[in-house]
Amino acid sequence: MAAKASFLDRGGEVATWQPRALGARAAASTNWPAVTWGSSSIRIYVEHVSSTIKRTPAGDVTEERLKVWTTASIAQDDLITYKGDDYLVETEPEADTESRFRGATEYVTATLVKES
Amino acid sequence: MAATDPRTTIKSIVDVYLVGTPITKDDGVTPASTISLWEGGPETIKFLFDTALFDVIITFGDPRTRSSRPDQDVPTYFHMVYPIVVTTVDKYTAGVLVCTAARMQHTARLAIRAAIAGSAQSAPAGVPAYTLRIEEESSGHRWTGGIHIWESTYRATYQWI
Repeated sequence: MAAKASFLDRGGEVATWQPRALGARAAASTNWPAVTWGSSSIRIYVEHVSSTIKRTPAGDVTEERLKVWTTASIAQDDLITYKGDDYLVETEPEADTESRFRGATEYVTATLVKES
Repeated sequence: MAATDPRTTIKSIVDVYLVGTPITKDDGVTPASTISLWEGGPETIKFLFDTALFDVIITFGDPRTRSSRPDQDVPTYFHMVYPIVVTTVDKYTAGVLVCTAARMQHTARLAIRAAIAGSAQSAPAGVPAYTLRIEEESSGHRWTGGIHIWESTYRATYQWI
């Protein structure tokens, strides 16, 4: 494994990655597909990005965003449970490659938004 | 809930019509792959068009409602306007354009109009009683998220008595 990736896997913090899978269309009215979640333990590096308050008629909600670096193959709309809270992978992860010309992915980075 | 929810009723009307008279591709013969959904589902546009390989996406959105009661002792009528949005993109097979987005929009327009007109009012003694018509249509296209999409919005008025 290349140096960058091994460093990320040795350090960082432990989190639970829940990859999203879309199943068969089950809901009769909406015709939406069923959504299921996997679960595995991954290591991530986290940087706090922002925290803002949004006001709705039903009450306030805090919008908290983190940036993560990980070697796991996270995808947009996956969930990551970090320190007991669920975060949604909000943006399509960007891959950093070992070499521009070899193209092997070293790690990915994405923005998470706190769901709970 | 399903029996009285107007959005489900309208979607069912369109679905039944499309089973019997499907939207066709450019050749006018081959049925297009059509999906009808409630708005706000978990899938992305690119997934539906590129992975699930649908040619036409029809979504049913949330209503805007106003009530009217013109005279005393006349029941209150609720005019519920439901948006039906038809989304298409240009689709190619082996480099050949088989679904022209704008042409598919016209074919879908004929289908939506016929479906709604064919169920313009509820069955006699139906519960709830309603009349249904297309009040307004608007069309356009835009470039978003790296894809060029054509959208037509049909505002179907469901008058709930």
